[in-house]
Amino acid sequence: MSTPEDADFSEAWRRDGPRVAAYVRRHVAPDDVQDVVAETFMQAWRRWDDVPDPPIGWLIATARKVVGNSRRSARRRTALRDRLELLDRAARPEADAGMLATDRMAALEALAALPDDHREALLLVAWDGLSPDAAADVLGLRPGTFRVRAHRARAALADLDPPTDLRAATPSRPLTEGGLR
Amino acid sequence: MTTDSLAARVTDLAPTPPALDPDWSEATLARILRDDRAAARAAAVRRRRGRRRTAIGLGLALSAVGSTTAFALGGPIDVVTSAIEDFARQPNTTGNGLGELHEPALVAQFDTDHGVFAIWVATSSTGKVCYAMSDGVWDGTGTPTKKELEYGCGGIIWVGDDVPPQELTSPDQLGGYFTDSEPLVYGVSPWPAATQVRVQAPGVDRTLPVRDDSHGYGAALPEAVGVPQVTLTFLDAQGQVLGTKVSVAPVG
Repeated sequence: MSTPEDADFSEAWRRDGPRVAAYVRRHVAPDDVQDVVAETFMQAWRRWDDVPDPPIGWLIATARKVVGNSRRSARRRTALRDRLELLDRAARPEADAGMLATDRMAALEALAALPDDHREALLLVAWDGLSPDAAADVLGLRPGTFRVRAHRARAALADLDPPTDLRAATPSRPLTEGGLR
Repeated sequence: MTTDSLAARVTDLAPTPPALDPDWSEATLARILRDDRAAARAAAVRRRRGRRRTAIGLGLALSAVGSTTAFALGGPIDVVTSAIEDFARQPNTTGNGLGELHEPALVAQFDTDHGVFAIWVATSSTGKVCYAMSDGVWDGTGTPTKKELEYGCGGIIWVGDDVPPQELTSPDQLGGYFTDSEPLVYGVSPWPAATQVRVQAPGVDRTLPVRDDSHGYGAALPEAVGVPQVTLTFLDAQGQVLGTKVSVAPVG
């Protein structure tokens, strides 16, 4: 027989499950995503009375720990190429984002090159839709510390950003059949 | 849109959360809702206690356990062997790549205020270190069932916030001094020649035997309530000091 708690949890599963999956997709291989999402929600269910409302920050924090406990994912995160592959798989396709494939890949390469903690701070807000305070909670940081970290991440991206005129002079696709770029 | 900044492009690449596979989603939700939360919470408490008690390493790596020891078949050793081998066969566990499991050896078994504490350790042909333990679940008589054991292989040892985590690669990394309930101490001697270990702290002074087979030792220390750390002095059969180490109880 279904209880109000069952209904609340089921609603959270259907509402937040995809968001948790989106977070997990950029950290683990595709075959592992469902396992991590299921384990995250299992932990939530076992302490549902203690899970805050809304639960999304708690869920992502828990997913982060589940991912961290996976030695396979830890190995995966160590390689730049693997990080880029995960980000590429997780990010919005260029057509949906309204940008050229090369611009998309440049952005993902810059993201992948960031230190892990900077990238995480940036994406918890930009991709996962958390408020800075909620993202700080996920990372176990004070809000001020989080803001500094996020600022540094954005600054690092800005450092990687070529000047606008240079980008304009470097078209992202061949200009001639001969491949002149 | 080639003139956007990288930061803006990163924001634009925010994914639309992928829809969960409907069949998997409903089946998984149903499975979670069927979970016995009360039992799971109790097990989680036991696991946390177990993890804490197995997760404090002391960093010295000299001894190897189980590769040459001989036990009669039957009883706890068979169950521990079977539990670890079954665990290693599960996909995506730290037991994968186990190779041939050497015979487990009992590190320590003693009474505590909440039941019997027992831990076994085994190495494998590929260098894995595996363990099985019961902390107040098995009553210490006869043979434990697999359900009464917590078990695993390898893993990361979190010693403290300021100390880099270590990989469990040697049996003598297991154990330590714990005060999360009744104080207790256990471990594997880093000095294989040790036959006894003296445990000392204010109000604590006792000598424990070190097992011949596993080089393990352990005991509850009810007199150590409020004592943050103990000094362990390892002695050989002639009473000569082989070495000492300090075990600090984890906080929290």
